Amino acid sequence: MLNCVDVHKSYRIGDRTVQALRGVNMSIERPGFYAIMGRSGSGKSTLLHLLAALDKPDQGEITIGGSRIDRLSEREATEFRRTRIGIIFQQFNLIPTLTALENAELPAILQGADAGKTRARAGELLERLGLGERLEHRPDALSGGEQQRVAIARALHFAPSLILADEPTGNLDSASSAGLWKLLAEIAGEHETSIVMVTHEPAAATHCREVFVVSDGVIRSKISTEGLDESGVASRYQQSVAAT
Amino acid sequence: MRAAWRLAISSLSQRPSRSVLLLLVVAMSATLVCAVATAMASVTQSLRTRMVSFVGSADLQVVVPGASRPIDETVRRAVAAWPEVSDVSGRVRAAAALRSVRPTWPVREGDTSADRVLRSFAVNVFFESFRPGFDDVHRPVTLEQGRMPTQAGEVAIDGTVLDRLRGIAPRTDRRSGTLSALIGGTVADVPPGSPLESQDLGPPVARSAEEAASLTERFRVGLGDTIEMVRPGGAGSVQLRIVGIAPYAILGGRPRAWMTPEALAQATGQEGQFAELEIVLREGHEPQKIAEQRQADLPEWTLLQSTAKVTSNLEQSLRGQQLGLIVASSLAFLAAAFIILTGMTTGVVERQRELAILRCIGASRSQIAWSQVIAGLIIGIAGSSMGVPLGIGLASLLIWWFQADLKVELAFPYFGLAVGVAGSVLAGLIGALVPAWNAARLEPLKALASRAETPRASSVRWALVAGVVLLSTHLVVVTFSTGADQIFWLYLLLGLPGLFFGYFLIGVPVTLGLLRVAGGAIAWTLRVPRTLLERSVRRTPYRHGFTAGALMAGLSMMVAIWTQGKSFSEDWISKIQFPDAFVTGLALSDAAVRKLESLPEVEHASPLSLVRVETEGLGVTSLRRLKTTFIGFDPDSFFRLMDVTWVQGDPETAKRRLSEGGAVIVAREFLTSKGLGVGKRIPVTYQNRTAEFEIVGVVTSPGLDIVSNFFDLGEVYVDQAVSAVFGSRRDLRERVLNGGEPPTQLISLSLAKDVDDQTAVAKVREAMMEFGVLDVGSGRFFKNLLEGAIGRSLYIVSAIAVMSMIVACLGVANLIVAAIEGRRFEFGVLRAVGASRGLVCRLVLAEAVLVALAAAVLGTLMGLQGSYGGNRLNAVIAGLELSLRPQATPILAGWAIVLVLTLMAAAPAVLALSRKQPRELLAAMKG
Repeated sequence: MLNCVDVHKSYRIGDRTVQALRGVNMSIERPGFYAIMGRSGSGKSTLLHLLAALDKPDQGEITIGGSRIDRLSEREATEFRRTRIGIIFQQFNLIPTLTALENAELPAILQGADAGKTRARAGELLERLGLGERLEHRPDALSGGEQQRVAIARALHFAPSLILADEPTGNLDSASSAGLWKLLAEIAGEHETSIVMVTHEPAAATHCREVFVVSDGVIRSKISTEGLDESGVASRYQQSVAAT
Repeated sequence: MRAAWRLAISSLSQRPSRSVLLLLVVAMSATLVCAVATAMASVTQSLRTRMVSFVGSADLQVVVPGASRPIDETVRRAVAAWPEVSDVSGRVRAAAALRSVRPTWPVREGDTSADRVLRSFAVNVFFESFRPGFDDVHRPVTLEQGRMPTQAGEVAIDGTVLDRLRGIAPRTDRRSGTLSALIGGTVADVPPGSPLESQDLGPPVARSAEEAASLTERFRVGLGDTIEMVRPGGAGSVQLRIVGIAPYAILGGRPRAWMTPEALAQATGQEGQFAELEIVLREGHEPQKIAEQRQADLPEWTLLQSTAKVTSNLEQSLRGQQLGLIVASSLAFLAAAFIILTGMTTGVVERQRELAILRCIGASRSQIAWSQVIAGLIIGIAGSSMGVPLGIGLASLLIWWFQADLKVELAFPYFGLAVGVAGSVLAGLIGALVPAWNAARLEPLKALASRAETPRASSVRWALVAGVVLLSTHLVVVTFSTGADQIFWLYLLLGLPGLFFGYFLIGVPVTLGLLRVAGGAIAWTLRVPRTLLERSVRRTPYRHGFTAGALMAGLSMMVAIWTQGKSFSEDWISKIQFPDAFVTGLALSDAAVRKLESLPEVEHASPLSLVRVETEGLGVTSLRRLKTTFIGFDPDSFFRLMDVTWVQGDPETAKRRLSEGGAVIVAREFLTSKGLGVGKRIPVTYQNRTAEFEIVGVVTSPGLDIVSNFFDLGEVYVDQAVSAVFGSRRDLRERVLNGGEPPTQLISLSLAKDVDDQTAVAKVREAMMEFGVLDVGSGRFFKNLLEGAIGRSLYIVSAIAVMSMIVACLGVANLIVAAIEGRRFEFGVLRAVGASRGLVCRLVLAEAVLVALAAAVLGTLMGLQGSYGGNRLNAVIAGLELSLRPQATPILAGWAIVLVLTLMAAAPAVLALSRKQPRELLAAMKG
């Protein structure tokens, strides 16, 4: 369902060129919760942005759900982000003046869908995420964890086959973070959705099926977390990085 | 579109105080424009009403050019016999005095009782005939009381006449300054036993001041009372009963009275004679065609014209005013659009991350862009819905406040209101275009990753270059244009926009320049680190520069108007050598001149005839052809009397040439505007007949044309005249009027030395009672009146300028609030590392002071450059030589107002910032 073949990407910063990705090969064949881990500057966020069609690779192919997203036009990429994937950010996820319900139905509003149906869908998702009592609350009345759950509801609105999360627990405490990872793992299982999360925390990775380790712009290894706890994942990750 | 609407409303409601500020900007601009439009429309409507009363609404008129002779009854009967004529009415006009004798009980200071004193109250009046059945339809008169006269012995009078017959003196306080201040009356005590006494005189003594006032009030003249008309030419008097009272003449104006045609003709010795004929045609006949066909059937000294043609001059003049309204409104709304642009662009920058996330989750570029456009439209529409009714209300208030002087009725300016609504909506729309463009171009990744980039130095340089080019365009247009039409249209289309946009653009480099020059002083004065001030301004130079630009507009208006006002006062009015005193009338006799010269107060009297002619055409001919006053005089007496300054030529040669004929003296404006000086020839056209004259002298204005125009206010819109040429009466008769004898309408007086002019004027008025004069006045009083009127105009325009500055200050407030909101985290860090509340607040105030300083510099320069442009326009179009006379006091006052308003605008946001805790500020981290 997701396939990257020899993906390269570089950026100009000032007068120098930074090679962020140098031939990434990555494949996800079944739904599940996946992590991309790596040090700061390793290229993990760049990879996520390419998967979200927020940018185009200089070279290589990216296929998601059978579509070559590296060939999408500006309009097609916008449509892709609206209906075929979901995105969760670290912060500033929500529109401050919209309620939780309105934030959750935002992709449908952008799509121009029928108001009654979108509201019902958004309400249902929020209920299932434990926010049934908070539908009419604005973001400043919600905790960090609650805001992220609203963002998850928004991402799930069109039941996408892929959800991308960029350090979603970066602003949460450890208890909330653990709760969120568990939730994401459940959603991946229940909705037959692939969730790809960028993280630098081994604790997060333990909730994932596999971890892709990114280093110096390439996928160095793929760690299966089956049977591993947090320290096990951390150890395997360190080994992976040390080997580069 | 639904998504765009939701996003627009979200964008506006996210920052309610700033959205309200932007809305207020538009609302206040709309208020200003609609107030001015309503006031102009009310004055225009009143002028039209006055036009109808002057010109009437009949289809055609038969007039005598130059009023050189009356139209007799045979002509009227001949016209009545034309098959296409439905009705024809003869109009009789005259000037005569009305007088009433009333008992009064004047209370002297220190006394409690008052003896009865019989007093005579008199006033010079312009009489017109009113024919019942005809004039009810074609020249109706609105009455406050009673009815129009229907038979001999009846008269209707207006409010000014009534006031003077009651002894109510003209207002001379600072609010007056219209004609009513000059229309004096004569009050004299009448000894007991006079045959003028009325039957019931009241008690001989009033026992108290209250009783005295009550008795005086009871016995004063009113509807139903009998007064007398002093017949011109010493032919005795006629008793008339007041049957109707009309309101005061609109916009000041001559005191008027009406009688039936037969009664007026008999009273003034004009039986069977008319000043003009008014013709109503039968259905299906086109007036202009009939005028062309029938002219040959009338005596050659008459002119048959359609009233539509006569009123077209007014309509042309009014169209010029509408053009002025459009230009002024455009500038006002452009300034508002710039403020909205700055405010909304700031909002886009602040919401970068939010907009980036919207793009990430699937909002299209067009949805983001449309949300900004819709937000701008909402601001524009909401602003107009507030501002338009406020503007009408404000104008209504002003009209009511000045009702005593102007007598103007409120009229709704549908065109002006449409401009107000359209301008508001366009301001919102245009202001939103750049933010919409910026928001649509946002790259999600870039926006997620970083803050806004600092504008490149090259873009600021381009702003400087573009600004200088535009300002140079203005200077080139005003300096090198020749010809009134060329300079006017080039100024309107290129010069004025170039001036406005040029200063707006150089606002950015000027702000940065001032930061370099004065940043240290500002930082030192407010005790803030200079580096912090510089960094924050350099990060958003366009925001600061454009806000200074919006603020400068009001100050530039104030600088320009005071500079030009001083120029007008020093270089034009003070150089006009008005006659010591003057008498005006419809046709003053030689006997009146002899009577005047017999008065000990009068040294010399010079009779003058005034006719409006076409010459080389001062003014913008494509808008409106302006006429010139041909002043006909007797060379001998004129040169003895008039103390003009000779710019070219000399009195002896000029007098000789004028006596020989074929020569004229011209006012200086012709030399300045058209280069017409001694030796050149000037054509003078009157009623399609042109005569050429040689110019034998150029003089400064003796103000006679101004006096004439002033007393013709209202009528002057039919035949607006600028400046004057002076020639002999013989030339006026033979070459201009084709043999028609020009009546004497003005007698210029030089008074004896050491005579008080007001005393002399009173004596002259009394002496002229039997000679059918209209007005008597002194030159000094008239000059003071004119200067007072200019002074008042300066204050009115200054008020408009201050209102513009207040509007712009709303933009400053928006800037300050945005600056604080956008840098909350930065302020939080400053507070966290030890900066005091005071320091943080002073830092924000320092930016506001810099913006105010930039606005002051820009506004002063723009005002002075605008004044230079105005002077050049006046020179080329009207021939007025004005020099640049900047006034320090208004400029400094303007600077102070800008600074104070800016600080006041910044105060609320700064106070709110001072109350926030560091933790609160740090929580706004955007990452």
